[in-house]
Amino acid sequence: MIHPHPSQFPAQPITWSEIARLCRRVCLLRECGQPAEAEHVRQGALQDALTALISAGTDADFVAHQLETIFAAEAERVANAAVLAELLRPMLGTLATGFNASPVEVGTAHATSATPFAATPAVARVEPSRRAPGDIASFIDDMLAQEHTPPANRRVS
Amino acid sequence: MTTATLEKPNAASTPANVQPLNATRPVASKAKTVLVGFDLGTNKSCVLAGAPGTTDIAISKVIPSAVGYVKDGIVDGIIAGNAKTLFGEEALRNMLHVRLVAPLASGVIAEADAARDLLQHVRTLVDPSGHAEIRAVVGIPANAGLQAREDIRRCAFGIFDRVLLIPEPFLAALGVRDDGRIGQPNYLDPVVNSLFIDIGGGTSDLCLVQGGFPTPEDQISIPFAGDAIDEILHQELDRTYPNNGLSRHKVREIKETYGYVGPSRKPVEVKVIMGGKAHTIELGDALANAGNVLIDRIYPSLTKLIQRAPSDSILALLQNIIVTGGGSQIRGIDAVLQKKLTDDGFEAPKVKLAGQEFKRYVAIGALKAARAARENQWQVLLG
Repeated sequence: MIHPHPSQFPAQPITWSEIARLCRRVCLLRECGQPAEAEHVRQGALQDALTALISAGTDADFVAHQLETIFAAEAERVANAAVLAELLRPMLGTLATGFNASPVEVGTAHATSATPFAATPAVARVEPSRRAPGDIASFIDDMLAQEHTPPANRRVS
Repeated sequence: MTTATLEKPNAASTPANVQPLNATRPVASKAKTVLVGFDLGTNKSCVLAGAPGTTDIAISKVIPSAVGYVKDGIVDGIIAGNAKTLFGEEALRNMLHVRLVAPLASGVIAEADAARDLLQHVRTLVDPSGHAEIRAVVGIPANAGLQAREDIRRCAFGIFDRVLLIPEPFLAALGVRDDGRIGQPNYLDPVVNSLFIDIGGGTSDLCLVQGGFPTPEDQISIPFAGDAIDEILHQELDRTYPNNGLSRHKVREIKETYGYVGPSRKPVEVKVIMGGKAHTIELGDALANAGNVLIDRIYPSLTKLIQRAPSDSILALLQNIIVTGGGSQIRGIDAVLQKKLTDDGFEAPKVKLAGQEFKRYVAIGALKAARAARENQWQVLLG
């Protein structure tokens, strides 16, 4: 039986759910205080996907309008998830300290994992960082990161 | 209309036969870029502009934030060039012949059409050819909400190609900062540890600036500033001199010339024209009452921010409290605030005035930010 080389498969058409996934990724990276990585995805994979959509015949204005709508929805979804994570973090921390790992026996039909339950990683707080006095661009990075961070995660000075 | 921001697709990644996503003003066709630092104030706006890669300032203008729409029936030749819309000083000079509109109130856009016209006027000032790409850093009040930001973006759509909205007190700190003295041992860098009080027409904004971009908790915006003082002074005048007929514009002039804070000084005699006749009126108490309300509104926020600062930084912070904006011209404001802090037990506070360039510091800081901003920090406006 001949297995086709991967390059012989036709490229999968870009779907709006893929666009949404990439938008969600951008929003999540911003939420985690990684604006540079977010821009990398935005200008890279997301831009490529949008270009592919337009090249395939989708109207550019329609794409722009849909993108705006999707970004707004995904930003809200990520922000809500961040708030939920913040609320759950203390509870998960309490659970983690009280959880006892079950012993694993080789060959047991119903082996249980020895890995203790891990708390959900906390959403990174945006802390204004001290830097070289002349670095205005880094101040702007901080400002843009703050704009994409829900109020619950911001430093209370 | 909702707005959003999206980085424009890199020209190299866009197929040549595909329209860019926001094709209102294609970037690739523009011969040059103009960077703009824009302090969009309630009463006065300041615009600085220059080319990237230089420190030259090609345009520097302070413009009253006023738009005048010429009334119907005005005879030809009354208005220079028979213009239909006037801006700034020209609008004020011809106020009898125009419908005067203030685009902003309390620091945010109140009349969108007039705001758009004003922004278009600014664009024409900095780029008469109309062909340059305009990148503008626009000052906004501290803690301006999402709606206020979106209103500015919406007005700027199709006029500025890229924008960055940055809180005004932080821009003031950048503007006041002497770049030639950064790092010198005796230099109190305002960006490293200071508290700025920017008193404008619509808002008084206070901001802790301590080496990083201020968080919302480091900033307080009070919707009480020059315009509110004008209102109080006008009421005092009406109470003391009924039927005085003085316009708000005239009252503002009186405030700007004679305004002060602190104990009442009498007599403060002001010559005004009422009903065509010259009168000398005494305004010592009225001016003091109006100005001291500002102190009463600002002072609690000042102490709140001081106490929010990390304890190890407060002593140095108290040496670097800077008042800027039009309100810095109120006589005695630095001394009164300093005395109040001293009387309340704060250790050796020093309140300073920003200096003679008080009208320009926000715009100076905005232009510095425009020159320093990286490509991926600029926000492209989508319709």
